[in-house]
Amino acid sequence: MALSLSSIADELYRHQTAATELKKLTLRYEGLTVDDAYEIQRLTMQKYMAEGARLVGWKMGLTSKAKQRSVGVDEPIFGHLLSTMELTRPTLSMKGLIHPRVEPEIAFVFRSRLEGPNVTARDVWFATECVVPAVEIIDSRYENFSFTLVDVIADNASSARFYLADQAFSPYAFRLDEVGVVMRQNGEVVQTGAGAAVLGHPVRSVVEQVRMLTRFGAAIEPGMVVLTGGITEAIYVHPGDRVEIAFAGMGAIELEITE
Amino acid sequence: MSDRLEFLAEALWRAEREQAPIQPLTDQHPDLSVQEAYRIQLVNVKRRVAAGDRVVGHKIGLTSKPMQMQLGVDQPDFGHLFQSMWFESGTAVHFPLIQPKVEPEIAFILAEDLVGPGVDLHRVLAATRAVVPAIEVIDSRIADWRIRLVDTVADNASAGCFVLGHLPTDPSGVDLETVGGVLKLNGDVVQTGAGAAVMGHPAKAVAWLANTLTELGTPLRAGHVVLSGAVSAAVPIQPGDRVQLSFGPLGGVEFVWAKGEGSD
Repeated sequence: MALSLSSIADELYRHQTAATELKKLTLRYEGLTVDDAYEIQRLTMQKYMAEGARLVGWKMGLTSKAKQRSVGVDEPIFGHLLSTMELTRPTLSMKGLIHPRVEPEIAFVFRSRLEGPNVTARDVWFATECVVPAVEIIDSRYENFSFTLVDVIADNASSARFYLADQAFSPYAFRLDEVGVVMRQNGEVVQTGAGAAVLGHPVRSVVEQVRMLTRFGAAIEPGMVVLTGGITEAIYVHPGDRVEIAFAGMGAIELEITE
Repeated sequence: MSDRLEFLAEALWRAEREQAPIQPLTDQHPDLSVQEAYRIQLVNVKRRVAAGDRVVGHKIGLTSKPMQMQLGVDQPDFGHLFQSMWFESGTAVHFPLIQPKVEPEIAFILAEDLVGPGVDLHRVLAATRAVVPAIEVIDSRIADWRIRLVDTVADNASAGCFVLGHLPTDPSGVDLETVGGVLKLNGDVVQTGAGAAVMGHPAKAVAWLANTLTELGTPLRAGHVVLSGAVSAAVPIQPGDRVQLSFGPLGGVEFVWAKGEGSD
């Protein structure tokens, strides 16, 4: 079958907006590269933006050794964050989602532009306005949440929704690699972790984000958010669930899941 | 004490002395009860004391839901800690180990006896002189870690040795639920977790231990060390490995596993 990245993007967009599963692209199209996958992602996101969604930031994925090993890679991936994906209050409706999972993250919010292949952690701190506890809702459009690297990149790195806590913090208030995180589901502890689960330190995730964006001629713009990556494994959620995520010293997010 | 329990205790004792793991006790004795397993453990505790070692505290195991589910139980277990197992942070650990794994934990050092029944989280915190970060090195005298609950209980809850950090922290000044632990092996992050992984709060595990030991007639004593349970999955180590744990405000602890001479 001839490769038409644009028609693949059409297909993904249909499944994302209709919340229906599809079979892995890599089972059906031969020879798709990582660069093709990012192009499919970009084309898909353009469709949302043509309908009024705004690009508000980026998300990092595969930021832990364990996840990289599970798809057989040694570097992270990224996806787009759109205004339509942001929850304005901590209630997650299952409408429009297939088999969503929730993971705790540290979000960075930027006051100045970050670009270029040689960006350092120092540059990131200098450009950061604040850090905020966050929760990302990932929802692979592939059957059984199962994919290869190329599939997941094309599917916007599984990103679906995100929520940032009300309270922001100075990036210097905490050692972000040692911030402990406890995730409870309906009162029971289901996951714990610390910031170092994200590439050793969440700031390194932002450095990687900028380097990868540079490859595609993009950047972190002022006002943008970067979700740095899951601090624990993601958990499946269902209507009626209450998920509480406590960040040491940074407060908690209580997320309610509804129909 | 039945001959059978003495015999199984002897087998575990020899396995440890000779660094030669044995088959699971439950292979030959599927009917062994948990109570009998603790009696086997106590036979070897007495043997160790008779050989000149000293009990310095306890370890709590199976404190997380995933571990309990893996062994099909709904309660933690415990083992005994000895003076000979105790290492200070920053040292090379010479200790005979068969198939060791490391776990990040919070250790409680008690200022008062903790006698049940009715010991709860608040009583534990009030009776605790200090909490310190700890790396527990677990080990099994059962081949390939093929353990069921009864096997690990009989085998001193798979205790190996332990390394304590230097910074004693007053437990009233730190949130032990959200305090985060980062475990590194030879410089790479291999596990992270937070205190709540241990029964929702590590002091709850200590409370469970205090009440359980009171029932058995050997309550927790002032000065004892309690390893409260792992905040992440265990990670296997090899000779020469450097293991580091940082526990946020509780400080850090590290050691190098030096296999070989210097151990008995």
